[in-house]
Amino acid sequence: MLIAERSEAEVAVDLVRRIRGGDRTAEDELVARYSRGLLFHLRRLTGDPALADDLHQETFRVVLERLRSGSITEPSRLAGFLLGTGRNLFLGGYRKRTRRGERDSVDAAAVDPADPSPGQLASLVREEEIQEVRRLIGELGTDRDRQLLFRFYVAEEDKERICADLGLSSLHFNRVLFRARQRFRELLESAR
Amino acid sequence: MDHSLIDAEQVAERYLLGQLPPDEAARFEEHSLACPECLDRLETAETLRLGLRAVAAREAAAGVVRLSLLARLARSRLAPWGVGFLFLIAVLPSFYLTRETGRLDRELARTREELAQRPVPVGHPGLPPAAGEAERQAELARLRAQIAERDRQAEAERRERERLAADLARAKSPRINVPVVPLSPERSAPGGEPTARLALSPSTEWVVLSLELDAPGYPSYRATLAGPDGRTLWRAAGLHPDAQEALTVALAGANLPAGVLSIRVDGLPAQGAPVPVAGFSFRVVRTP
Repeated sequence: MLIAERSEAEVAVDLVRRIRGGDRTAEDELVARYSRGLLFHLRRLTGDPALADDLHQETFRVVLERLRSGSITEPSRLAGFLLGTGRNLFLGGYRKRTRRGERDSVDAAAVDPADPSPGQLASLVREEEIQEVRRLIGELGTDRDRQLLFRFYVAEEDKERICADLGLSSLHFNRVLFRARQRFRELLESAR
Repeated sequence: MDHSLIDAEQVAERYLLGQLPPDEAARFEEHSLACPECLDRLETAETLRLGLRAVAAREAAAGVVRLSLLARLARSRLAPWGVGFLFLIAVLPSFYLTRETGRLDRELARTREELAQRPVPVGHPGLPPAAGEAERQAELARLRAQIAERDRQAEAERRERERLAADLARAKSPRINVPVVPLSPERSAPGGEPTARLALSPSTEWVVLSLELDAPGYPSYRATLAGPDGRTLWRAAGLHPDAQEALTVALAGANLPAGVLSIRVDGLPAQGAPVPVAGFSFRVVRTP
């Protein structure tokens, strides 16, 4: 656990140092390393793929400017700085809120993604993906497993309560969820 | 981060559902930004979550369409025919069940009659029964077992029909003296003894809570009911206040445990995070 965290911190510190020194390949590496993750989190935050794409570009522009000028205070938390910048841009620029000052750290509790409305759902999940979800539901062995998925993912009930109601062990719950996610991934990959 | 632990504890799913403690959520979020494996986990789980929601929303919408069709049918000149058709749909399964039970009853009576007419062989004490006799004994035992099984099935079906009929009668009957409890938002810090007290007897089927909202202004609201131990007992989103600017919620009395219960109402803006709007608490007391 510590090894993985340290190596990410080391990579981040190295990238920050090289970008500050004017190394353009380091800038490309930064974008390649964090682009997919940043876009995922921005899409969840905004619930709007087009807006997330705009914010994604703007976040990298702002972060690269800050890195070139050397004004980042915690290089080892580069990932957090990217996320924080993306959030601040969303809150400041798109929600017309007053910015409370520049921050390098991330306040994860400050922003929670909203539940998407049915209209937003249509833009966030494709028809083919819904079909694969239906197929997965059809493939589940028992009605109890189907209930488990809906109660966990849709009704957002606690694991303990679901297990108590359905008479499941924690291990069985984990297994159903893990297998459902694995199988769903296979279905998505074969459909693409 | 330890990926086997992330899988075992459903960290990705719990992160997406907002069920991780804030510090753990922030750590996982930062880690996921540069971890392709965790991004795979997150993307798959998020697509599954949104897909399941879309499926659930469509099923609910299909239900609304069916109801509106029924309403239109009831208003139309074809209503008597429509009602007749619906009656047939509703009654056909019961008719089939009744007919099937009758058939089983007749078969049972016939088998009993056959058995009564059949001579029961008695073996010689101390000697093994002859081969033919042994077969007849086995056949007799099989028939008796069949009868016992059919008796059991018929009894279970009768009990189920009685239970369904009682449930239906209870559901159709009007509710008298349903407790209606108006609740005002908490002004002081939560944790003190609530002023509202709800005495529930075992016969209290429903309780109606009227949650007063100070200044409703959000497109919709989310309400979360937590039990005395802080566990979520019920949660619903997409709620809209009534003309008196209150949210009215009917809860089954049997689902309310004794102790201090709390309800949190969050406003759901068109975009962005839910905003806490009001908190309510009340004490449930169970009476004999």
